Amino acid sequence: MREATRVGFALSAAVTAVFFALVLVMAFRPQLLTGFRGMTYSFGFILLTLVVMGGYAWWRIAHIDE
Amino acid sequence: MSESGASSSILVGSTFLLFLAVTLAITWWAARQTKGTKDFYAAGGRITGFQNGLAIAGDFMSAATFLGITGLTYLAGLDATIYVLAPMVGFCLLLMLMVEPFRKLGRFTVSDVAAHRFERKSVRVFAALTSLTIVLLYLVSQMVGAGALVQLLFGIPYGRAVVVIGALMVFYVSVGGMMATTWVQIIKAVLMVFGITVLAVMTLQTFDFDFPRMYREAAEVHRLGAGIFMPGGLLEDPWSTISLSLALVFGFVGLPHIVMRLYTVPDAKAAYRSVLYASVLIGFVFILVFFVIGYGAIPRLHEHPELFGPSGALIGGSNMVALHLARVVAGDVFVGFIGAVVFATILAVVSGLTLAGASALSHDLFATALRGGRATEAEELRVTRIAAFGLGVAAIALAIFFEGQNIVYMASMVFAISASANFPLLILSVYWPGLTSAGAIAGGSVGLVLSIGLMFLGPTIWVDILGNAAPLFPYKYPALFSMPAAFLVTWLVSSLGRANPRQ
Repeated sequence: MREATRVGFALSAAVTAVFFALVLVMAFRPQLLTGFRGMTYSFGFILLTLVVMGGYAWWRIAHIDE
Repeated sequence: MSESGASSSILVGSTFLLFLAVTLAITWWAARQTKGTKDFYAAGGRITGFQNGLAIAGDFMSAATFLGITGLTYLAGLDATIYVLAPMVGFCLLLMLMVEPFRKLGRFTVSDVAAHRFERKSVRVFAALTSLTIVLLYLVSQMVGAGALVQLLFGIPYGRAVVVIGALMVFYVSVGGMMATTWVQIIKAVLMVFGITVLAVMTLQTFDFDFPRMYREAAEVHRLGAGIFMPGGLLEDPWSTISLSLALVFGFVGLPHIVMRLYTVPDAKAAYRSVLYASVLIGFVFILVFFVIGYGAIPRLHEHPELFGPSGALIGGSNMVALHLARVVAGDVFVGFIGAVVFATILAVVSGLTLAGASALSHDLFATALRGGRATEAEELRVTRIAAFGLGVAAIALAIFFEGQNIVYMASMVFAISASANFPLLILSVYWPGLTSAGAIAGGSVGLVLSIGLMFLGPTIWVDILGNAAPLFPYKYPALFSMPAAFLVTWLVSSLGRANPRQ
């Protein structure tokens, strides 16, 4: 459980940080998101989140001790 | 009425009546399954991971989410992506930080988790009151939107629409409890995913499944031009962008009706599966709504000047984009089906919210705080049913009073309160051993008062609604200030009172 907490914190912090990095760019440097970059990053972020969540859930379901 | 218009009305009526008949039958069946509080609040823990995933997705995919995100994308382009990405991060936090502790520490409600370390009842009472505030505000915003939508779709007067929706939700909750609410939500989620998928495919078909062509045509006719692919169409103030994002991410984790769903499955494995299924479904739907339906609607609606009023605004406002698009790409019959799905969505979401509010009143305030855990299950269930009825009446009255108010702002208020009052309390009570009851209540109170107070003094309420010349608080969304303040005060008060941490 302790290891799960550490991994959970690390992964959720990473996903949250990537999200807020994107939000900060949207807020302060919108010119970096010209063309289809903004949409591409958004799509990529959704896929990344799903993969990370899927991986974590699969790992916890395999090792959970409830 | 044209032939297709008549077909549409018949389809709306028959789909709606079929939905009503099936859900009422489920409610009757669920009532026979419900013997005690665990059955009523948590469906006896008998929902499977997949079913619960559908129900969680259904809880999150309200009519406001579907119609609102489509409308925002149509109006402002890329900025709507914040409403798409933030819930994904919220799901991530819920899955990785909350599933196991919540399963271990709680039984039915947010307050169970928030108060698990404290002998004094004050934390439970406080958590129940914040949950109730969140639920009532969310319920009213959904019902205000629902009344307007039903009026627009079916021609039923606003007041009557709100009363019908309120009466049905009270019936589902008070008779069938969580089992009925969950199944209503599952049916609605399936209908919604099906409807949105068909709408997206039909929209793409009008562009010969050529994505670049769709986006090129959208940029050619939109007032922002290629600006619809860049930030700034909606949230011109950077601090508002950050503040709204904070509220949407962290507020999601503290929503009482979402947290309650973690207890309806038999074990933590099923809880993990349910959050995962929910996030995949929501990711899929959001991708279709944002990347296909929202952008595809721009050129397709532009080709139909009859959809715009004399001022050039879309008839029915931006919330009607999805329905207008359904009519344009698939005809009256399909728009009838989507209309019925929207109605089902409204009913399902308000029922889930009512159950969460009623359980805060009966389980947290009555049975645990007032009766010290000595209330019988029959008494508690009786109070739950009375609470559901009371909440229904209050929601109907408030929805009639707040007719015409900005529901997106009311909903963002809910997320700001949840992020500022519920989230710090939940995360710290689970992960910080130094938390004291005084710290929890002080921090939560600061979060609650600041989030409501700053919104009241901000541009939307202080200037737009109350008519004052300038706002006393310059930003529309308060979470950037109220959430850190709640954490800071919680830490400060807990640290100062550390001499007696289990007070």
